[in-house]
This record gives sequence, structure tokens and C-alpha cells, in this order.
Amino acid sequence: MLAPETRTLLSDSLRPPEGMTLDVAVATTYSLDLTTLLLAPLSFALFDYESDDGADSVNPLLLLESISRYSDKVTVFAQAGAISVPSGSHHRLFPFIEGSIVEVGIESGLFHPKVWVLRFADAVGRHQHRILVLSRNLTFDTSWDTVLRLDETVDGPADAGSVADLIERLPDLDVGRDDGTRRDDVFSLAASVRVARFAPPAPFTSLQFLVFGSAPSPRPFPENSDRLLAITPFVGKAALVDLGRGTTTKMLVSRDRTLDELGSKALAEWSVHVLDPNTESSTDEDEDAAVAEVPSRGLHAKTYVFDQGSSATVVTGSVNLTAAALNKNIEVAVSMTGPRSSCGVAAMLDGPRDAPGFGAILSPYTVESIDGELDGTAQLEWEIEAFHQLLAMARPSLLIQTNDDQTADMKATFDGLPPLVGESSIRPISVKTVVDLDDAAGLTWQIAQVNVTPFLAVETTLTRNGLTARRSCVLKAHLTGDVGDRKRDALRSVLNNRDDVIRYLLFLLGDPRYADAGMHAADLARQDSGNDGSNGAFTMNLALLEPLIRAVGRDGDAFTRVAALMEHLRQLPDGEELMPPELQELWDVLWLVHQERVR
Amino acid sequence: MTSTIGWLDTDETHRRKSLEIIDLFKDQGTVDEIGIGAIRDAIADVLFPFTSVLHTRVKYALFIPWIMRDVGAHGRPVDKAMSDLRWMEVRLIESLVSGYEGETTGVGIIGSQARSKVKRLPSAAYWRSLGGWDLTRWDTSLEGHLRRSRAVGRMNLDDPTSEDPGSGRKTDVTGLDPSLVPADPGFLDRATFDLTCEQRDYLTERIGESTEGSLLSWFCFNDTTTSVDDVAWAWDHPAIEHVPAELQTWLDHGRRFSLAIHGAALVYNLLLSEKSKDDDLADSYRGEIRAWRDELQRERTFSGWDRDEFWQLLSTRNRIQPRTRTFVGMWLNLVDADDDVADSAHARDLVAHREQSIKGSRSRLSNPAALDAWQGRSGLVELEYRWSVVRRMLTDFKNAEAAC
Repeated sequence: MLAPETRTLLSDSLRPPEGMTLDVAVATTYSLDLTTLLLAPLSFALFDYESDDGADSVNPLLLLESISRYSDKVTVFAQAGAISVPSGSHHRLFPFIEGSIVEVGIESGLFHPKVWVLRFADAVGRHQHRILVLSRNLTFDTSWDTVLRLDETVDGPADAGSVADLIERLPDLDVGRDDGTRRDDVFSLAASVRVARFAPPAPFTSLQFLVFGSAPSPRPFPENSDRLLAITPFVGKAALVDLGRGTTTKMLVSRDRTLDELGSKALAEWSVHVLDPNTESSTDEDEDAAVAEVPSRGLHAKTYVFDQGSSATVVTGSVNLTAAALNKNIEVAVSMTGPRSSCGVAAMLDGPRDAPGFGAILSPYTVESIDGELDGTAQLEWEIEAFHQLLAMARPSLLIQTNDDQTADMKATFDGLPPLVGESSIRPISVKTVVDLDDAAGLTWQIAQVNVTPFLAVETTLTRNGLTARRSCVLKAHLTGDVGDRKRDALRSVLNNRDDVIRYLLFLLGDPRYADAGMHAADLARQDSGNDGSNGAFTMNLALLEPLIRAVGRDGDAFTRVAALMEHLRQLPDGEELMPPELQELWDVLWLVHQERVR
Repeated sequence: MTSTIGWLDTDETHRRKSLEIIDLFKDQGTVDEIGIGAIRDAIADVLFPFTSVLHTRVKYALFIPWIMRDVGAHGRPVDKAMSDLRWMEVRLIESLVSGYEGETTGVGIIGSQARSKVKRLPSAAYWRSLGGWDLTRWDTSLEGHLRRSRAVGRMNLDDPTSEDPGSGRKTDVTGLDPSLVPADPGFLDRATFDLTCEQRDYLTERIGESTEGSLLSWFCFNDTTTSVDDVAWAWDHPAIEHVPAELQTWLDHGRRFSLAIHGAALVYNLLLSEKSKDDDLADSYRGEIRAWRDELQRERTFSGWDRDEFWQLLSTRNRIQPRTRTFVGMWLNLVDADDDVADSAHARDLVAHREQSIKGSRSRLSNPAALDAWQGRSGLVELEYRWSVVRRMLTDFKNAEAAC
């Protein structure tokens, strides 16, 4: 169980079951990398991708296709003030994902659960739910994290009532201006998942969802056990004592910094380990960060294993071993029970040489300091984090004024700035020019219209007693003024020539089951026509004609998608150039036919 | 569909890298203690593209496509296809065990110990290589391949013109090289890694063409018959002087670097044995360091070594971290100037600092518990840039000659 070689891709976990498509999805996370929302829909659209270079290495037509189909069906709830500055900066397709993001906050504690709840549907309207319980946020971290995938099963032993309750509550936690467009979807998902049943992975036999943050908090851990293994990157002393009180043989796997802070006295009864540093590849390109900083690699999983007689209980999810996690934050974990021989501590740690257990990649660790060394910068980081949350909750607004020369003026305002912490700068994520946050009147920029974005990046530096901490985050502002049709402009920036338009049409007309094959066909069609997209003439190709005609007759959805594209293109100043004349003529005819049929 | 629990990877590349690290981990000798993996991999990728430490025998490059063809042909939904694949690969393990009549030590059967409990299947180890060697034609993950195969197959069924032989519109369903040699009959019941003449010719042609410009390609086209059993290092291959100059340059740099940096790993182990207060072990490492110094002399490692060219060539391949470059640069300068590194405070500090900078407070030199867990010898297999994998491949090709 959880051998190091048992690995799962997130994209595989999101992919719809055979013959079904995504109906609605809700994801919860503490921190969010915007680029993940560009790439996640690719999985719904059945495309494969590599995320190494972020979204830039993925064909923009693929992104456009999957986003335009699915981003309206996905809503992500993230801790306000914890959206990270995307590594690739601004992507021209971000306008499509803005509506999916809801910043949330609770009064005391953090929004910390890492869960996907998905509902898939087939052509006749049958539903199937899936729940993913992860330890990783919606980011591109490469740390050691777990993913538990639960597919709806007719006779499963567990129901997801507590998860449904959490989902229903989410729209009320919105710190921004809730425009209510996603409420119906969210409530519908809560209602349907409430009556779905789930089974744990073999060989576990029972399963229970644990949702923290709504009174009363669950008591997730058994009081006594014969042997206990705790894997958690963050540990509080009191929580550690509580966890280990009823067990004599106990092992803790955590990060070196955390263990150093606890001190050897607090760890006296524990067998203390860290991930062997040789498991972190020195060939990783982002290794420029000093080891002392919080690594995006390293241990991040939160899994607890308890041996009890011939059974074992495993608790896994978002819960760190801290008072905040157990008593204040919103968290989601799962508790599962199974036979000790295959689910217990030994089963997790041991294994033969060619299928090593988790123990093979651990290294014992000595904590030098007796009482623990407090990390001074952690306190500073926490203060900045709290400040960023308040900033996000101060309802930032951006007033847009377009000018004749393809530029726009943007002015940022807040509903009352919270007391400033440290020194902060702010900028729209699409530009590099920063402005000091304390210059309330000066939060203005003049930028290219295509760079208008609601996302503002804030970077704060706080220095005290010789220690310095720095943190950045993205705020989602409310756009007002000359907002225009930003999705249409983004579309235009991706469709560069007629060839692109044809390829995109092929996607829109394609059966999502064949989406992958559709890309294949698009390539073939282009080869067949001998056209490389650069010259103006384009011979209408069988590959496109048939699906168009079929769409009029049978596939209402596809037809609507194409109609929307045609409208967008028509409204563009140079839309005519992008549209092959034959296609225009054909479309006019098909539109008339469609009107007749609809009448 | 069944529920699952596992470790999370963001994409295929990360999954592969994670598996490779875990694999190097299984042998204390191959662990990269001083953080020079990026240099090692850059050189290995130039010489032997798409080879991997996860590889054992070259016939897997046929077994996997044969199995994929079977699985793809059934056109089952992807999750069922994936379990079909796993089932067939486990059968292959048993089939190979039968083929060697249980004498499986050293043969290279992936999963021979774990059998049906194996976590990492041969298909995961070879998939990227199959793509690189043009044995598979679609640029997707393994699961993506099965998905596309099924989707294209159904598209062909739906498309009435595909029945018209003249239409030429039938899209390739298998995603495999159309000229893939036929499967050995009954290979899932009893099999060995022996290649027929036809299979050898097919593999050398495919691998040679797809990796053109590399040393692997040169071997495929020019020499698959020389015995390499005793050839410990790629640069010792009997035919090396006939290899194109550019490759000889890379080999030369690789040879010099492998020996020169080995001293740093020796010093690291010396420091650990001193810290553990094991005098005998420390003495034996001093002895090894002396022997290493002698070898440096004999091999004239530093004489005529254009280290600027070394770094310049590396930078065309991989991004080498500035800290790594600094460490390696300083180490090489130290050894060049005075190779008495066992007692040189400068050299010892350099190595200790290097471990600290990559492992922080988990380094063995600063963490007593980690030091206690040290087994006495670590990271001392000299860099050979996956030659041992290629040597086995060439031996398999050579053995096929007898059947021609």
C-alpha cells in the first residue's frame, strides 16, 4: 500500500469514464496556480499533455477547445489571498477561466481542503460521480503527495453526505462579489453526490469521509493502537502528544525544518524520519531555491496509519498534524479500515527489492536542539499571509477605460485597504510595471487592451529584527467600465489564420469521444489538402464538410458551438480574412436549413 | 471502476523521473550523493539516446509493442485495456521465467521477484524509449495511446468510406510502426530474450535511424558483432577509433570526468567513515584514494583536457545548475593542481559543503541518525553513462548473429 512506485497522474484521475463527459465539477484548494485551470480541462476533453513548460507548450487550439467546452462546468474554490502568481505569467486564454475561480475565506482558520467532486454524464443522461481526495493543492508542485480516487459504486459502503454539506456551503464563503452564476451547478452537484455511494480501494473494507471546519469537528484518529505511522510535513506539539498518547511504538515522518522546530524532547517517544534527500533529483531544473526555503518538492503528504489487532486504519487527505488543522481550518480527509497484513504500518514500510515499500526511501533523522528552534521567518510569513487574505477580502475593483490606440487605462481601488504590512507592490499579472500599494491614488496602469485582466499580483516584503520574509499572491478584482468581450478577443489572438479556423471547427464538430482522434484527423486533413496555412486559398475538404452537414441534422450541440464561433468571427474587424469564402457560403446555407428544421 | 490510492505525479515526465530515482535508489552504489546527475545524464543522452537505467534486455522493445498490438486490437474501453495490459505483462514475466527454467538471476527479467505484485511494469520503463526509437508513432502516454487506438478504430468503423479500399482514408489504428516484425508464436507462454536475425536487423535499423548522430546509432549501423562482454567502459570499445570525431570528443570528456569526479565520492565516504570513528574503514578509503590518484596519473586524465570545451558542450544539452558547475569546477581545479585530496582541507571542505548544500540538515555529515544508517559505502559506482545497458543490448545483437 502506497509503495513509492505506485504512482497516479492527476490527468488520469480527472479523465471521464469511457462514454461519458464532464457534467459539472467542483474543486477545493488552499493555493491555486491559474495555469492548472488551463490544463485541467484538457483531461476532460481527453487530450494528453505534458505540463513541463506550463501551458505554453500545449497547442493553443487544444487549450481553446477544451476550455471553451468545459471551463463553464468547473468551479474552483480557493483560499482568498492564496492564488499564486502563475509561473508563465499571463496567458491569453485566461479570460476563459476567470469565471471558474471563487475566492473564499472563513473567520478563523484557513480554507485548506484539496478535493475534486465530479459528475459525469453519458448521452442518455445517466450520471456517475467521482471524488478525489488529495494532499496537494491545485498547483504544479512536484512534492510527495497522495491521491485517493473514489468512483461511485452502486453498493458501496459509504455515503458522501458530509462532503455534500461542504459543497453546499461553499458559495456562502465567497469573499468577492458573488454573481450567483455558479450556484445552481454547485447545489445540483451537492444534491446528487449526497445520494451516491462509494467504496474504498482494495483491500480496504470500510470508508468514511471526514470534513473538518463545521462543528462538531470529527475525531479522526483512533485513541489507541499497537503501532502508528504518521506522515505529515507540519506538526504542532500538542497535536503530536494527543496523537501518540495511546501508542507506544510510533514513527513520525516529516520535514527536517519541522522536526528541528519541535526539538528532541518533544520527539523523545517517536522514531523520527525524513524523506531520504537522494529521492529529490538534483537534476530538477527548479533547484535554484535554497534547500532551506519551503520546497515545492519534498514531503507534503498527510497520511496516518494505525495498527489495531488484525486491522488497520488509514487516515489520508489535507490534514496536517496541527491544532489549526484539527480544530479551526476547513479540511477534508478520508478514514479507511482494512486488514493489517495489507493495510497496516509494516505493509506500508516493507517490500521486496524490486517493489520497495515506503520505508526504502526514508532516512532516520536526529534533532539536535532539545527544546526546538523556532523559525523566525515563519512568523513573518504568517503575518504577510494574513495581510494578503484581508487584501483579497477588501473587494478589489478595476475600472477600465479603453482608448483609441489599442491601449486601455486601468485603475485599481479597494473597499477600504487593511493596515499595510511591510512593503508591497502591485501590478496586473499581464505586465511587469509595479506600483507601490501604499500610493492609493497611483494604482493605475496604461496597458495594451489585450492585456486587460482582473488578476493583480501583490508582492510583500517584511523585515524585522534582521529577518526578512517575502510572499506574493494574486487577487481577483472585479472588472468595471469598458470591459468588452474579452473571451472574443482571446479567441482572436489564438486563431491566427484560416488554417487555425478550420482546425478549430473540426474540434468543435468532433464527438468528444473522438477528440483525440479528431486532432489526428485535423492533421491528416491538412496534409491531404496540401495547405500549410500561409497562402490564402483553401480547398474545402471532405473532413470538414461531412461533419458540418451532420451537425445540422443530428448534433445540435455541435451546431450551437459552431454558430457561436461564426458569430465571434463575424464581429472581429478582420473576421472576413479568417473565414474561407467557401466556408462562409456553406455556413449561410446550413444556417437556413437549421432555421427550417427548428421551426 | 475501482477506487485507487497512490502517489501523485503532475505528468508523465515527472512520473518517469520519479521512477528512475527510486530505481537508482535500490542500489546504494548508484545513488548520486554529490549531485552530478545532470552532467551524467547530459552525456548519457548524447551517447545513448532513449536508454534508461530502468532497461534490462533489448527484446522488451519488441515484447511491449507485440502486447500493445494485441491489447489495442480488442478495442476494449481504456480502463479494461490497461488491466489487460497489466495481465499480459505479468504473463510475460512468468513466460520468461519458464523460458530460463527458473534460473533467473542476472537475466534481467523485470519483476522476476515481485511477479504479480510488481508495481512498475516493463511498459512503464520502456514506453518513452519506444517513442524515441520510432517503434510507436503517436506522441502520447501509454494510456493515451490505448485511448487513441480505440477512438480511431471506432472512427474507422463509423466512417462508411473506410470500407472503400480506394478511398485511402482508413486511419492507422495501432499507432505502432507498420513494419514491426511479427510476434514470436506463444511468446506469452514461454519466451527468452534471444533475438532472431530478422528481429535483430529490425531493431538495429529502427534504433539506428531514430538516434542518428549518436554513438548508439553508430553501433547499430557499424558494429553489432564485436564481443563487448569484457568491455567495461564505452570508450574502451575496440572500434572506437572509427567513430565520428564529435562522438569521440564526448566520450573523451565523459571518460575524464568519470574518473576525476570519482575522487569526490571517495572523499565523501572517507569523511563519513572518519565521522563514524571507523578507523579501519577510513584507512581503506585512503587506500582507495591513493589508488585513484595513481590511476589519474596513468590515464593522464588532466593532460590535454579542454575543460572549457567540456562546459560548452554540456551547455548545449542540459541546463547545469550554477552551484553544480561551481562545485565541479572547483573540484577539478583542486585535483588538477594537487591530487592529494585525502588530506587537503580545501578538498574535504568542498565535498562536505556540497553535501550540505544539496541535502541541508538531512546530510549525513550533520545528521547523526542519517550517519548511523549509512551502510559503509555509498555512491561509488563510477559513471559509465548507461554503457552497461547498451553493452547488454549489443551482446544481444551479437548473439543473434549466430542465427543469421
